[in-house]
Amino acid sequence: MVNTKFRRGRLGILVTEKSRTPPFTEQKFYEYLCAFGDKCGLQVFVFSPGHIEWETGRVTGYSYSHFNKRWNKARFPLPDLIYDRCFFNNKKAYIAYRLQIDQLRRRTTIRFLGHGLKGKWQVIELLSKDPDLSPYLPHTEKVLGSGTIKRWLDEHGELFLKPHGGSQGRNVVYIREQIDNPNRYYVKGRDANNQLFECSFVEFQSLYRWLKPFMNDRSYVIQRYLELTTDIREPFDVRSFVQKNRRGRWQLIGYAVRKGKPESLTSNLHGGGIAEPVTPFLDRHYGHMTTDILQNIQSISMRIATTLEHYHGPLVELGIDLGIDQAGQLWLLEVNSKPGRTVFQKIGDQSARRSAVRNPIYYARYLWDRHLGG
Amino acid sequence: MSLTSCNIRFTNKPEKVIYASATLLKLLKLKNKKKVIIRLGQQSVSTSIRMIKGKGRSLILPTSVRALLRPPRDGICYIQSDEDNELRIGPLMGVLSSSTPGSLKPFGSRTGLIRQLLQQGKNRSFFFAFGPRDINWQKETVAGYFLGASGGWVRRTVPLPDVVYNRSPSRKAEKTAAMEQFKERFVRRQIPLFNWSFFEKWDVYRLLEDDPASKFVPESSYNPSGLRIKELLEKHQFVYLKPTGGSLGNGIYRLTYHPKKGYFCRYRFNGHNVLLRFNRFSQLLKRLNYGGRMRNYVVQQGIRLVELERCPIDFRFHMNKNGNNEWVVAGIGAKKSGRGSVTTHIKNGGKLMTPEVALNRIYGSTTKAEEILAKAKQASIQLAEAIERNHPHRIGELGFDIGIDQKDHIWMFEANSKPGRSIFHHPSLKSEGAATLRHIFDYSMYLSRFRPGREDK
Repeated sequence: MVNTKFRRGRLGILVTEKSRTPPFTEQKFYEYLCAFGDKCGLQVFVFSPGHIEWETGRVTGYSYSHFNKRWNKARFPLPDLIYDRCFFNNKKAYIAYRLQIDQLRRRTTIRFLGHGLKGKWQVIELLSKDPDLSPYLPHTEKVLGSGTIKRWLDEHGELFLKPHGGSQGRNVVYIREQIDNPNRYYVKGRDANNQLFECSFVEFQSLYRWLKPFMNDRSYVIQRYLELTTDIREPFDVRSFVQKNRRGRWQLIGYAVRKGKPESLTSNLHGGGIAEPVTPFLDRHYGHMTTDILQNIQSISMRIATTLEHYHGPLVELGIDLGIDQAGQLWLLEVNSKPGRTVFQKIGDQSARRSAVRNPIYYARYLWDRHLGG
Repeated sequence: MSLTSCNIRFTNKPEKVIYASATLLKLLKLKNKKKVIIRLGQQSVSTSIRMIKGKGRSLILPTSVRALLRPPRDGICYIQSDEDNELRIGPLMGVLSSSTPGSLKPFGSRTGLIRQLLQQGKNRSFFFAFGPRDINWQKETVAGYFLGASGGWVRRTVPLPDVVYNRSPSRKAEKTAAMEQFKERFVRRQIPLFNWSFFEKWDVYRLLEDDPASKFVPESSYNPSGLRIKELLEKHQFVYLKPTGGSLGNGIYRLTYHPKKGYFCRYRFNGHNVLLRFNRFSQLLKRLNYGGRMRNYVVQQGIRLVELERCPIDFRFHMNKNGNNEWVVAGIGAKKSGRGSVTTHIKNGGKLMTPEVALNRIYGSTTKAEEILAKAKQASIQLAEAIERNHPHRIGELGFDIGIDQKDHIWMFEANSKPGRSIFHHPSLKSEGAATLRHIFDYSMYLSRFRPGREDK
């Protein structure tokens, strides 16, 4: 690659600050981004929203030195490009982040590779505008109070409650109404530590008295409960991974099956799920339908990316969770705009793993060459 | 014969025995039978049958039967028994189009319509769509596209169907020898296939030539000589010259003759309507750039259509066969043309209305409007029956361009064997659009010989 600009582009990886040294997670990934960015003519550093000096236009961050094999703390000018990898587990941290992000976005000289998606409800709302995708969306509703939950139970007998923001399978609840049982409301879920629990309630009031603190002021969505399990009731889904590539186009990088333990409700790796390659798994469970399902996974993943970007604005990569029912129909379970990529390492897909870590740099370089600076 | 619905479930039991609830067996009049033949589409399996307790209409298929019969899903469908101990589940109905595997729109721009159509079969039958390449003639199976629980596409391999509705996308593809042979293969297996091909537009004039229904068709001549054009023009004072291949109103001339004023020629050029006048017929003929016969043209008696605000009105009648094998008018759109334009095609600045609104405004009387509409409906049913009588293949759907002249005569200008659906986009015609889909489903039921006996009706 030939750099036609008068200086190297600066790519800032925006992270949530942790109390450790260096103060962020995913160090191996960012270490690689620093090195590979350097090769591609970009200066890469990691910083968090709390360390921006707006008066001087400088940030305190970290860059990895391959020479010393360690992270060096330093002051940098504001980046040209931002790769947002911030995660939150509470509202307060999110609000503080929002304020800083809004300031960064207001600077016309800074370009975000992608803007984070707001959450499950927004994704469902945007995608349901596309008539070719809407059949693959499970019926979803925002929880507005106990009334929403009561009505769903009356209509469907069972439901799935998920926090609106990303949760890696945490804080989810399945509720079933059992008309022929004195413990009328059966509940199964995963707590804040991703531990599986079960309980039941005699009446709706007591269920909701328990549920309200559990939901803890987070926004939730209700989703139709789909039995997306193997024949021995292991929940599973397909995680497909799409990214912008070095030509600025969407590309399907790879996919993997994530499978939870029997009766364990979710298949997230954080909740003890395991990953495996898709094709042999589909061959085993869907036989001759495998080719068609694979083709559908590809076309749905690509369409989700283009449709979301059309309605939401810039995106750089998406982790898309798809369920497959007994009939072989796909269901969109979740779209994550800040996806993890460990899954490819777990299934030994080296080429997908490599693309997954390189593409953010390639795409940043593409943006730098085409749209910025100079 | 007994027809009812049943709820199919699958079991992993190894024995080749199907189980039916007592209720179901009673409805099917199979109470004391030990062996039956169970059939789905063109595939049948001989099996033992046993009764199980239960109030529902359950039919339980073991793995061995399921593997041979290949039902695409469990759940509700029709079931029918006959005197020969044959038990049919289904119907298995296919829509023939052209398919692209793995796409979100496997049937291209027709995907939406096909989806709506397949939804008619929800919880009733096994309704799928397929393209020519999805058939395996050796194994006698088809890898069909079904709708999943929420309407997403799911592909399933099933036996050859009970009936095929042809919705092939293009006139050109339809004409190839390969396609003809492909359709013949269904017929040879005695699988009814309806809407065989596109009509050539003028075929219908020939089809009706000696039929009583020809009174609804304007006098026409194919590849006419100059003399023939003159003859018709002097007889009717008003004729059309239309290219036989074209559509959308291109290349159409409207000729009129006035004994005192001469010959007028009206046509569309570069998006404008042109009007020319000639004193003598020979001048007009010269202008039409015409040596001997007018090739690939038809001369047709002009009809002075009823008008609204000085614009001619014509009607699109959408005809369907229903579940009793009878022709019905499923929907009517009234089209008002742009002033002075040659045809009433909507694309040339026309306007779509419901027939009631149009006729009430034309006649200023609901009684008269109703009378004319009833007359037009009757004529179109007679026409559909006549076309079917004279056509070598089965037809389940027709579109007619119908006109009403100033003396209340009903005329049919054009018949389309694969009518477009643009009139159903009109908000007041949406329910008629849904009705045509219902008729296609019902007629497919009829052709697949899943028919209620008297007592089950």
